[in-house]
Amino acid sequence: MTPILKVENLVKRFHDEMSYGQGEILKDLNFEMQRGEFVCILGPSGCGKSTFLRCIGGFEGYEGTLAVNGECVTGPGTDRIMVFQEFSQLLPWKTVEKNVQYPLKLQGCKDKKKLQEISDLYLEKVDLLEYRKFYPHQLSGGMKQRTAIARALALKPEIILMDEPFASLDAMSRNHLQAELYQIHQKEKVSVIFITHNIQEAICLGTRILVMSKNGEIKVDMMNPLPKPVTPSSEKYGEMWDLLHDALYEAGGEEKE
Amino acid sequence: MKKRFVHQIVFIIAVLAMWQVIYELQLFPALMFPSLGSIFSALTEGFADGGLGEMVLYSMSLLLRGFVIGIVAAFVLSGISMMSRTFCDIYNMIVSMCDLIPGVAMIPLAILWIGIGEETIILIVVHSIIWPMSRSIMDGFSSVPKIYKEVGANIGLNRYSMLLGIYVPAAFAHILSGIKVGWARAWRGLISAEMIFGTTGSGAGIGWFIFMKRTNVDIAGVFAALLVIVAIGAVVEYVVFRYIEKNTIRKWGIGK
Repeated sequence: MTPILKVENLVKRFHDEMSYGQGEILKDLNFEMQRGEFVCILGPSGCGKSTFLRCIGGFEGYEGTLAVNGECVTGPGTDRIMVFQEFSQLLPWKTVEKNVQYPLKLQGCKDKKKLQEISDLYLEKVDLLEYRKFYPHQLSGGMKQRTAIARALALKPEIILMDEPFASLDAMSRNHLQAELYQIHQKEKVSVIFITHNIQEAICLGTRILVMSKNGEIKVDMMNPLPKPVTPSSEKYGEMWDLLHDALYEAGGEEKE
Repeated sequence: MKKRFVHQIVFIIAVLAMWQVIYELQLFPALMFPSLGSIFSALTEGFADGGLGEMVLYSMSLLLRGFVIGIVAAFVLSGISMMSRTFCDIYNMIVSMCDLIPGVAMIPLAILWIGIGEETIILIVVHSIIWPMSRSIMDGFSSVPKIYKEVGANIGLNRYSMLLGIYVPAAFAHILSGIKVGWARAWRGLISAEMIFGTTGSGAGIGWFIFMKRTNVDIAGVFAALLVIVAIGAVVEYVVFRYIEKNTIRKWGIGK
């Protein structure tokens, strides 16, 4: 089986005269991901995890090999849909359902009934069906993120790329959305790469967890051994948390106590 | 919302009352400062048999034609300047320079080149709207948040379809304020051109009406024409633009 994502010797430099040395954000990354995996990437701020995700999304140039389903990434595409951290990622001039339908229309789906069916289906999955006629500015932050997830799911991408989508939410909404996303992943079998700096989030959601170090290398790459659904009372949760916490602090360099 | 209207209406009534008081006090000669009654009768007379109604319609038709041409041209040129860096640099310079030239100052040249006709007035109207409109559109386009462009690229828009799919709606608050500025400029440009021109052969407009009244020292008539200009402007501002605003940027929760 070909991996859904293959990264070989990926290097990302910023050609910025102000930065010292080579200005390498990502150093020689190698990584393979299988279909259906939920990969959580942890890392201290500034380690390049978002840049890594943006490279996969096609928003940044890179050196090395980056292939999705065997095809080289050359730019943004609907096979890799980003869910951003910003609540402003919905198009404010379109209602919730139009936000979901518009990308499908662009892909050539013109049948109104079909579009309605698809948007209803996915808005139902994120529990927003009754808000389908609302405009984004009428929604809470969590609802906006759920709409963005529905928009991504409806396009049936190869990979969904999530860049700390819940980081700006309050703890309650965050837990709620984590549970919802976990359910969706179980049912839809989508492949997800999820950036976070929250250890709990990584343990609860990830089937596989990566820790990136401050100088842009993958330091830990492990399967998540905890059976789902994970709660803080799950067996070995504490051990896992400690392990990731230590790795994260080591990765952060001088931030270690 | 309601309260604002109350404030404005009370203010207008107060101004009218003051006007009439000043007139009654005979502080100025009636020629300079006509009574409300004589302005009102000049207005009704103008519409009844002075041909003011026709002139208004004629002016409006010139204005609308120039307005539409100006807006479409501004969109096309600003759109191209989004696609091409070179064009953008040059067009920015052209806009900055041409925006400084008052429409009236173009009239001698316009007459020389095109002659005395409707086209010349329309050209003046186009000139007065295209530059501020282009400036607003380009400012709007360049202030579109990066995230919309990234989302647009991600869901399958290319650099051409991005223009209508993302740039125009995202910049709509700027575009609308550009249309408002353009509308006022076009109105002023039109009246000035008409006053200088007189008739165009195929018809006469409000500017001509004012010019005639001035020649006949009918100051009440001049005021009547000014009232008509203000009234049309107010209808467009409070009815047309409000309606567009309510159904776009207010509904979307963007802009001011």
